[in-house]
Amino acid sequence: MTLSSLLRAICLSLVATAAALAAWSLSPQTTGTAGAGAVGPEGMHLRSRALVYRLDERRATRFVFSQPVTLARVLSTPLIEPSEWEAGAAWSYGYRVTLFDDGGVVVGSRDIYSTGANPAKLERPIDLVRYIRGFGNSIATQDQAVFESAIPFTAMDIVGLSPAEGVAAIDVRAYELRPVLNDAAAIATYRRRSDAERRDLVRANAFPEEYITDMERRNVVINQWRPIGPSGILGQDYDMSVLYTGVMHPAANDPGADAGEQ
Amino acid sequence: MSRRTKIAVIAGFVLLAVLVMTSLFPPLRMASGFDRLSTSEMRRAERMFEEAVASPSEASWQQPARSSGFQIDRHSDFTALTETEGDCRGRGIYLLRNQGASSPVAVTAPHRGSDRHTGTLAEMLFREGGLAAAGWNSAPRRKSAECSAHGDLAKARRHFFTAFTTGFAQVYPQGRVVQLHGFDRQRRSSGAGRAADFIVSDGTDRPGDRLLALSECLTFALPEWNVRVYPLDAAELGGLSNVQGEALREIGFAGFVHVEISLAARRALLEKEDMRRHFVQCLMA
Repeated sequence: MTLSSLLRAICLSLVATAAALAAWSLSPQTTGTAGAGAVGPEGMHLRSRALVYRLDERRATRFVFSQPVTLARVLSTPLIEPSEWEAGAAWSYGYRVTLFDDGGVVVGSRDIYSTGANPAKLERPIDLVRYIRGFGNSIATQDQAVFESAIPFTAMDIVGLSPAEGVAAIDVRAYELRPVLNDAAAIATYRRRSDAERRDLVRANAFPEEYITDMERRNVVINQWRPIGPSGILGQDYDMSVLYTGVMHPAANDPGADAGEQ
Repeated sequence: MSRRTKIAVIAGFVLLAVLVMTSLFPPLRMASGFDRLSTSEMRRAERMFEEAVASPSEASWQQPARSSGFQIDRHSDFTALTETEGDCRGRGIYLLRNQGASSPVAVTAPHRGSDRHTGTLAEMLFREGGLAAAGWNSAPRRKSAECSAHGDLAKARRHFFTAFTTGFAQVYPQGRVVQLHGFDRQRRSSGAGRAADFIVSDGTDRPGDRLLALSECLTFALPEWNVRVYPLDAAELGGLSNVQGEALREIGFAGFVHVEISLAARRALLEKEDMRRHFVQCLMA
């Protein structure tokens, strides 16, 4: 071996050592991505979680608003018996909403009937999975109902109506509009948000965040729904669980998975 | 060899040299004032803690512990491993339940002092919850006149603190190692971070079922506090680079929990026995 080839061999060894060190220091092991395993249904990638309240047919779940309101929103999600999940494609269910003013007088009552579907069996299937620990992932698409009353109301009772065959339970979430004092307060609220939050708030707008007007910013803030919880004691007056939402194939379907099921 | 090839080879060597230098000389902000254990010392420390956690009253681990610089104090229901007076080398402080631990949980606070109240909180949870073990730093995170050592235990891989957590996990493979941290809501970049009181994580971006169970328990038990799960509803403070979490995952232990707590929640936990009871019950569940 000549001196030059010996030098080349040393250089190559150094290169190999350096490459090994670099690979070791940059390996994903240090970033914590080596997860402890998938959660829920195999291969499901969780995206978000939300508190939901289980409806009862005999006991009303009461939601109290932070101030008298004329608008309220309810999101409902039917939980399907696992044995019925593959056999069916859609299931009917219903719930009754009663609105009360601050004196406890009923200002309105509506029965809402809706249908939840298996997201994979929709005409245009969506890659969306909902999951509740202890129940599983046979949870159908959710529906929304907005209640409006000319007389302001301060509380809302929701009771489940006898569900159709296959529906194990109905979970709901309730919302009120975020209270805003005036236009200036709305714009100030908007400006106090971080850049990322502002971008998120106006993501439905065709223009970038920096191009929208103050009036549009105000509208974004005053039309924000805020979740409210039920009153009473957990387990006695209401039942609660955590609903996880995720996808099975994150690369194929990431943002706006819920947008497909209004 | 053409001129272009030579330039390419030299550029390649420069790049490799930079990579080597970067891996050999980490930034100053990551500099640690701890003595790093060698691989064999680390193995001995892990074995020592494994024996100590399994049977604190046995003599077998005590001599190695003393020769590593620990002072052993035996109390009625727990054994304490501390540094001797004036010897502040940052080995850490460890409490081991002598017998009858009500739950296989180790509660730790690697940043006691800089993350206010976390050390006191770990000690209270250990005592009141009857937990199996507790541990925290004995040297400050930043350089000080009072102590010759300093540094971030959560980044010190070859350290007694890491050996303590892995040793604990070997004895209680189904147990839980909880790391308490504190965060400043005002310094968070996201609205979710600013609104959070607790951010729980298992140190990965794929939270496991045990972490979800814990987060649900905390959400239900502490309804007036905002409990967030990394990365589902808070995209920061997930402890992804935490070396104890990493070491535990490497040995197949799935019970690592990284809990970031706001100052208001830490103060409330110190003041309210009820809240502490709910908190520790969730850790034990």
